[in-house]
Amino acid sequence: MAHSSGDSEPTSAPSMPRWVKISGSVVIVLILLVLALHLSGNSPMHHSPATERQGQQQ
Amino acid sequence: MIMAPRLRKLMLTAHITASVGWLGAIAAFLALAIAGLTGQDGRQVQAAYLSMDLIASLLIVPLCLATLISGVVQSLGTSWGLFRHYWVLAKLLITVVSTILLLVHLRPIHDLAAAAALPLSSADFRQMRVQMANDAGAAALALLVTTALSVYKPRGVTPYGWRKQQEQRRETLAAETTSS
Repeated sequence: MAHSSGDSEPTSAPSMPRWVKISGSVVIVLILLVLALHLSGNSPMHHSPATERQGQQQ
Repeated sequence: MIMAPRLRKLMLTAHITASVGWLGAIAAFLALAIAGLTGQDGRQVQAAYLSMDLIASLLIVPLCLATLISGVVQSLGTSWGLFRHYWVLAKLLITVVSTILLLVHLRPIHDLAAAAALPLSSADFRQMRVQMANDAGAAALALLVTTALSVYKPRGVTPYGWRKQQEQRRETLAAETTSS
């Protein structure tokens, strides 16, 4: 039985897979966590030996 | 443009070699970061941070860039594409973010090695040394995720990939109709 090509073709893109949604959410949480750490001053940039030496000298 | 099979295999070999080398270099960096953090012998701690600086600039950076470039070439030169499948897109994002973070952290790594040229006590730059070990662990985890994505290739096409598939399907059907 012949079908026309338009009959079986989906009309819209498939939804985002569950693994993408879950890992995307995890990544967003991690990014927010890292941003919070950096903003609170717990990053290597805030504790470079140069800045730490200056702090020790004061 | 789809690559010829020989060129595709050559590029795949280059990509696997670079990415496995990158993972190995990160593993060595992590081991040295832990040795530097926990070591009691001043000379051992000193050697660890000096070696970390060399590994970062001479191995990790070139291998990271080689992985990124060979990965982009490999995706564009095959039917997988760069933005068509979620797993390829996820790998690209992880690699780009890791490259940026690595380049940003090169200065602190170098500064720590310069500081380690003088005798370090276990209390010196403690927070930064802990951060180095954490960053190396996170980098190793990210590379393990990209490796798993390459092996499992989880299903899922992006809306762009879906449109491309539909276009190709229509072109194939049109060609079949014309030839029959």
